[in-house]
Amino acid sequence: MRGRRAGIGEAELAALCRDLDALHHDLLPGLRAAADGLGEALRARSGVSRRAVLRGGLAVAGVLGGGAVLGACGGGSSPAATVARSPVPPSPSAGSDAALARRAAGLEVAAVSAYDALLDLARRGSLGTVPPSVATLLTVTRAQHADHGSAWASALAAAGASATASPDAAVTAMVGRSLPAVSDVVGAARLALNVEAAAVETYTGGALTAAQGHARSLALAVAPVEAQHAAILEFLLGGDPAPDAFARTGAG
Amino acid sequence: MGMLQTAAALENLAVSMYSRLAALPAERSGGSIPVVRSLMAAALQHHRQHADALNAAAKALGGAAQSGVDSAVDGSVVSPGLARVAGAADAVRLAASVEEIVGASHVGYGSTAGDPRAVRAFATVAPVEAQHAAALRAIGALLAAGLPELVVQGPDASKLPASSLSAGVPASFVRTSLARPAGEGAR
Repeated sequence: MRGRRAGIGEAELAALCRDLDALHHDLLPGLRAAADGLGEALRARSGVSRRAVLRGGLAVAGVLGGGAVLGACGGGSSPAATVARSPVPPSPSAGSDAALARRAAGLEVAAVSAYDALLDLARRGSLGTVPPSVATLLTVTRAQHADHGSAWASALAAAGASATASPDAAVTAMVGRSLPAVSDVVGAARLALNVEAAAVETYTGGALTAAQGHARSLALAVAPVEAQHAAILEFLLGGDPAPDAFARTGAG
Repeated sequence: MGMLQTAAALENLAVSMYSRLAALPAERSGGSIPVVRSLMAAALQHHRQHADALNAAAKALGGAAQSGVDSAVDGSVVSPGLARVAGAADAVRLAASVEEIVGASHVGYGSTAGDPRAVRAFATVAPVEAQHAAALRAIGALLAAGLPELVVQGPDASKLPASSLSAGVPASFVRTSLARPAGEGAR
């Protein structure tokens, strides 16, 4: 996600904030942009115009629901702004951020493909009768994964990387192995649950290794949504919607 | 530090809320519905464990553990909400609201925390609050539709309203605008 680094002085940060404020009012009224994410994007794209970087950051900040942080700009007294004034960690890990963004984008591509495959089976009658509640859940969940994928693609684009991600190999392989045996709604829900479990673990573990800022914020904002997908699928299947007190990280 | 302490206070508040709900007559709290009763009992235990983890992180960083609740959220959301609980639907709605606030706070704090122990604590508890909220919202949708008989684990999907399951997953991203101020719960 980040390549070359460039320091940001107070003046530049202030200018960034002014630009951000202008964009904020011009483009996305009410949006609370992620200033720390913008700083990371700037460091990543020192050769890109400040305005372009801000637009990239805003595209992702927008999907965060306007809640991220504006603290570096001193832009308000919101809870998020307050927490943003905490000390910056000393050594952000650019490599892990970039890896997380790439992996997350690929994960979402694989997830969308999995749901497309399940919905295709449903349309062709290969799952038997699919209740509207299940069809709606699969459709909504697929759309949310597409939103996540778009957010990661925006993050990659803002960092100067290709926004086109390859599907996550592990998830794709798992789906490929499981899909031929899926012949009903229960099987479809189980396959989807496996996709969601992989997603929760990936994002939670990824958040632990990401630097403070954009990639971590996005991972943290997405992981609970994947966990919600899993909870509803568990509920549908007769399992425990919240089986563990702590999310798994993939690293123990 | 304030983030960890406030997060712990929010967890303590969630424990308090579920305890106070459990003390209500079962017809009011939703306890007469086995799935609601078991979900709330599990959530209470999870929140206790979350508070312990967050307090452990705070102490490791030289701060004081928090045994009290976030009084601002208690005063503005939980206590007024409890006073209005007349049935299972009210109880589930209140619990879902609190789960959303707690989860959003963890996400907001985790985004800006500097210490890896704090990040781990926030990152591993936020998805669990989301699971609680998702199940509560789906249950709430069934109760609102007047279908308490379908509030069972593994419901007959053919009888569920089309939007009842997706009610559990209302948005693509956590609404961090619900996060509480970082120092609010610290004492």
